[in-house]
Amino acid sequence: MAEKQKKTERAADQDEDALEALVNQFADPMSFVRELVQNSIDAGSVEIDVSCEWKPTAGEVGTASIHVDDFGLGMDRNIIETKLTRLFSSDKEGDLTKIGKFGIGFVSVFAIAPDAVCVDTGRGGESWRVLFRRDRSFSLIRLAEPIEGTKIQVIKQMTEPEYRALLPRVRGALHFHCKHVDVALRFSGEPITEAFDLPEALIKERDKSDLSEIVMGILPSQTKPILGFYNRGLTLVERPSDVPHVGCKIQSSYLEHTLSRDSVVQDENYARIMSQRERLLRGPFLRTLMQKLDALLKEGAPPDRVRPYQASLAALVIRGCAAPADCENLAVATSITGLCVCLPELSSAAERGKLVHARAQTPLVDGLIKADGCVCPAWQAPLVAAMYRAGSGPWGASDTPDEDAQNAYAIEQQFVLPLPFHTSDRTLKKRITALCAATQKLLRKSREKAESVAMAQLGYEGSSVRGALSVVMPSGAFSLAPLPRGHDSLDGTLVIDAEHKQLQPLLPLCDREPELAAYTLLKLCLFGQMTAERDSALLTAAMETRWRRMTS
Amino acid sequence: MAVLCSALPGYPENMKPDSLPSSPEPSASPHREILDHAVRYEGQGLSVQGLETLIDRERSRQNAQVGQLLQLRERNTELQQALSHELLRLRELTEQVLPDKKESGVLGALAKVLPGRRRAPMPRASVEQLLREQYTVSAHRVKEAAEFADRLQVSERELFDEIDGMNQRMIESSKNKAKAASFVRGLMEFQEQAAVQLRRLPSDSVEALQLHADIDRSRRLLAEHATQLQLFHTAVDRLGLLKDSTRMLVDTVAALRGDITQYVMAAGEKLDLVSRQLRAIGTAADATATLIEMKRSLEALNESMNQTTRFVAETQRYFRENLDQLVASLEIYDHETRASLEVNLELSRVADGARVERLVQRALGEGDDPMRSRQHAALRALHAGRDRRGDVT
Amino acid sequence: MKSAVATHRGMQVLHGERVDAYVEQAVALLQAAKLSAQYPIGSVSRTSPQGGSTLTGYLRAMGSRLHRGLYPQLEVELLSGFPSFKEWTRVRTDVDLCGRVLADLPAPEILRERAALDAAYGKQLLKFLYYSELLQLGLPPFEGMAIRLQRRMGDGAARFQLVLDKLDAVGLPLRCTAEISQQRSADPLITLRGDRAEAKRELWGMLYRVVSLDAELSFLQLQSLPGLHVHSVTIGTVGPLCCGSLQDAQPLDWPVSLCWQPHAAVLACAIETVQRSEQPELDQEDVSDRNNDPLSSLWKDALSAAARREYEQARTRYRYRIIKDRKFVADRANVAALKALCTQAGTQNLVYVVPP
Repeated sequence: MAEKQKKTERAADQDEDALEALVNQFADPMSFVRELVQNSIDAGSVEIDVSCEWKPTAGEVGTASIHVDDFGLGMDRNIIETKLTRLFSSDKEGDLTKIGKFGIGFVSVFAIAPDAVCVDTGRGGESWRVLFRRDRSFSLIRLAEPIEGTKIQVIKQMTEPEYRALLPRVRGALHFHCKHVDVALRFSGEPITEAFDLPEALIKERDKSDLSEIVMGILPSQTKPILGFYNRGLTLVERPSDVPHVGCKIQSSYLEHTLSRDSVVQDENYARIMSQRERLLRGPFLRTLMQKLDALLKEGAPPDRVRPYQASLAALVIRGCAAPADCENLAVATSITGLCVCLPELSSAAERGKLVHARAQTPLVDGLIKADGCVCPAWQAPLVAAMYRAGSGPWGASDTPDEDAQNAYAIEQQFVLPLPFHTSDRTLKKRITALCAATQKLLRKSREKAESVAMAQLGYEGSSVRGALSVVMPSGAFSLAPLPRGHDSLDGTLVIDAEHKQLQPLLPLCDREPELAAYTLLKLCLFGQMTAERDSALLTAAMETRWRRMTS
Repeated sequence: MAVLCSALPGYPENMKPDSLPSSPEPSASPHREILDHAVRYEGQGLSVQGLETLIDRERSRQNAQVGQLLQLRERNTELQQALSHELLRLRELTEQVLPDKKESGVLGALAKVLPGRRRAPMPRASVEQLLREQYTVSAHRVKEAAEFADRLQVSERELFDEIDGMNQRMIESSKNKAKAASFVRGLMEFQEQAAVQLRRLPSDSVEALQLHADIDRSRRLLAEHATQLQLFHTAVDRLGLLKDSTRMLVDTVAALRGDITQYVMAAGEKLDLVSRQLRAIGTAADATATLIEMKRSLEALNESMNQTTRFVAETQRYFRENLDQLVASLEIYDHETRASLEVNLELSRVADGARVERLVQRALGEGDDPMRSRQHAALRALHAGRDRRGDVT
Repeated sequence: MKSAVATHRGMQVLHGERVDAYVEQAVALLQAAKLSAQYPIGSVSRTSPQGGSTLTGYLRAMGSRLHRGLYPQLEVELLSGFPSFKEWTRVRTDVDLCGRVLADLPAPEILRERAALDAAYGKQLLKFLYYSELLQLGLPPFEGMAIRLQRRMGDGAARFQLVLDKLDAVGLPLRCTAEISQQRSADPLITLRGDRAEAKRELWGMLYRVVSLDAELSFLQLQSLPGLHVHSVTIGTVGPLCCGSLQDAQPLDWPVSLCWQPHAAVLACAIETVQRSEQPELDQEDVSDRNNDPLSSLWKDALSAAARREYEQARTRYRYRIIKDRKFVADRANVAALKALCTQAGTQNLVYVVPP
């Protein structure tokens, strides 16, 4: 008997725990307003009035009440007793014409620990008051006056400052959860609802099918884009958008909350809806985006206006979206010389490794353009970087190439172009020639791989090796080449900056001691890559050459 | 020269070019002041390009109007197809009205659900609903036509504005043509006199050289103003033709509007009648009354549809007979205008003496112009078409 | 069965200011009525503080404030107090055409410039203003039918919700909402493609015809269709409406004496529901009929003894209950009279007061 008693008590405790969990099912206790609005919509009310009031009682404490009034079907005694006051008794589950599902929404009003909840409701000429107490027990009272719909008051004792803090929370919760509902929802008489739209979007596309309604658009840079999921206008989830600058709202009666209300059920319908979104993104949206971009670039719009569109295009490119056939010739970028460039041209240049961005038009830029490269202004770096990652999606925050990734495709990170050095100073010319010859001789003697040595300009404005004393060119001294990453191997032409300040003391030295000058120069050039063996070989070769010169 | 002057097209006999130096006798020394005379044309003046733009602008306005008429023709075709479908539905409706011997009211309803009672056959679609749908379709058609009639009224106004504008340009061009002709005539006289004078002078004298220089200047001026003369002449002529076709468009639009208005009024009356009968159908308690009202409604709807059908058929016939012809004549006109403007463009580029001579002869002479004859023929044919339509309606 | 609408037959044609006064009163009454989705309200404006439905949108479009005098008169059905079918159709036709008309009109600046000089342009300008506003209202058709899948029930059966909006013969806007299940059938009245349901014309035709009767007869008629199981039928009727701007005499033959002045306005809105009892265990009170409509009685009370027997058989067989309710909107002067009417009938009805 005692064991049976214990079992009963344990079961009661478990029930109580489950109820507590349902009461506090939402992270934000104020989310109960969404549940009440949802119930009102399901009851056929097309107007819902939410308001708050506070009445002083004794001392600082007063009575605050949150009112949610609808004009829907209301409830009769049977419904009150079989549905409202019983958990999981909803007949809405599986009903595609209703939003509510489980019959656990109403209980969330207790999340704010109210002192009482008063439900006045009427249907077919009977009117009832259901008065819930703090412990969630209730009394059913027949009302003499007729009631239309359902009027709920959530009553709680609080001070006036607490009440003042409550107001924006109620309003905020309504606005977040119910902004797109298809009824007239008011808070203190002011409309809360707004059209299912992206009003601030610079461009937008819509798609409506039996499955869902989708609106997506490019938002101005100051607006944080979101990816929102809604069911009959009620917010299910809003999360940061996975496409930079592109906001997207998806509404469908097939979208459902998980029981914990913090996510959307990712079932077959969800997958179909996401496919619909993908088709909109890759088709009409991409077309509109490219058309807009083309128009902006052709009218010479400033970078700030173009940037959001290009950044979005960059993300779509990474995702593997290809230009629709009728958009292939539209301009999506400009070259640094101001020419319009279309997506296939960018793609081809990237495939050849000749798509870069640059801050200014420099001899290096001119060199790459001559070599059939494509150079975009630096502000178009995201698109340039994206072209190298085309099709490498998946979606995610990483779809935006970060600053490092963007910098990697700056022209000075990719190419080098030594310019021929000219001087009218005969002595200088003679010294340079002599130093080149001596250095070349030394390299040959020390069995380094270098083919030749040349003097050039490396320190011009925009040079990728500005400040460097030398660079090893794989082919030819004055042609454009991919930027070498060090002097590990001198396999090619060693090109020395004729105007470099470290070179200047070596030039007069070359008159008297060309081998020493050449050795010093190579030591400076190979700084960092100089090993004891390499140094010893060079020094030995220099000394031998000097001795031969002196003795011959 | 006097003969030449009177032969100038559009050049009034009493209009003497006072501002020019008076014509000297052929024997007298040439008046070289004419070379320094600045001719001021009225309005914005005219270049070859300007004339082309002007004509093009007028043409595109006219084209827009014709385009609208063509649209109406398309709409009419759609309407005709819809009508044949709707008339078929009206026949179906008539079948629906045939009485079913059924119990009505409460017992009728109970009869169908109670056990042991004979189940009635599946009820047909609601006749009231079908009639209302048909009424809505007809009301839509009538309203569409009414809107079009209003739009045509504005089109008429716009076309009259165009005619006003063209008249203004024609008067302006005619005045300028007279000024240009007078100046060209003065230059030609100067050239004649200078040639006579030149023969009298030793070829290497300073006077002879000066006279050669003046003759060269006069040639240049002649080339320039002869082109202007031709342009003003062309402008008057082309604008005249354009005005004729615009006037014809106005007639077309007015006739159409009249027809449509008539149809709208007739069909509107019938629809009013139907709306009252629809109400009677809904409220009538006894079946006989309902049937009578339904029959009346159907008759009225049929009548309304017949009005529409007649209107559509007649408009379609009119369109077939006239609109294509109108468009064709405008296309001929377009083609010829362009050809003429191309000749002028060429002349303005190469102003050699022989070409100028031909140009001046053509501008000053009023001979038969085969191009213009073809255009007039096309317009005459169109007028004839309109008259034929008068018989039809 | 008592009748809510009464002796005055025919129509009244309003002109000029009376049209606007009527439209204003009718819109105010409808807005104060707090109509739910059980009534033919169409879509609802979410952004206006007062709400505003398809019904009020249509009524506004009938007033000269919107159409700028393009239509000289308004025909009102005296039995319902609502505009005639012709007027509703007029607005619907305008809505259908407004996009095309606006595209064809000359630019508004040209119209404004010439309107003062030429009446033809003046009329076009008024059309531009009217059609532009009408386009913004985005009014759907006032009559319409929609069917939605509620749930699949296995073995090919499914439950559906049918909604029919209709203008009654005397101009009363009404909505019928029927919830029905259909068993698998070789020739179903409702077909499903995916989750998209489509009802045969015969079914709509039947509903269109019977909805003007009452919810109970509609229920029985629908139940007579093969393969269907009717769960509930609800009919929400807006009206009759009467207001001082309509005519001088009191238009309704209600068993109450209304205070009739130019500013007087009364609107009645009724809901009838016939609901099959799906829970056999419910006690008698839960399945008994409830009539809270002071202007209408249940027609079973008027049946002959023979008919009553058949009727009782039907009730036993289908186990349904009837709930009738009605609410009123009235100007302050008429509230007391309406409340007295309710007391006399033994009903508890809401009477909303329309703001002056």
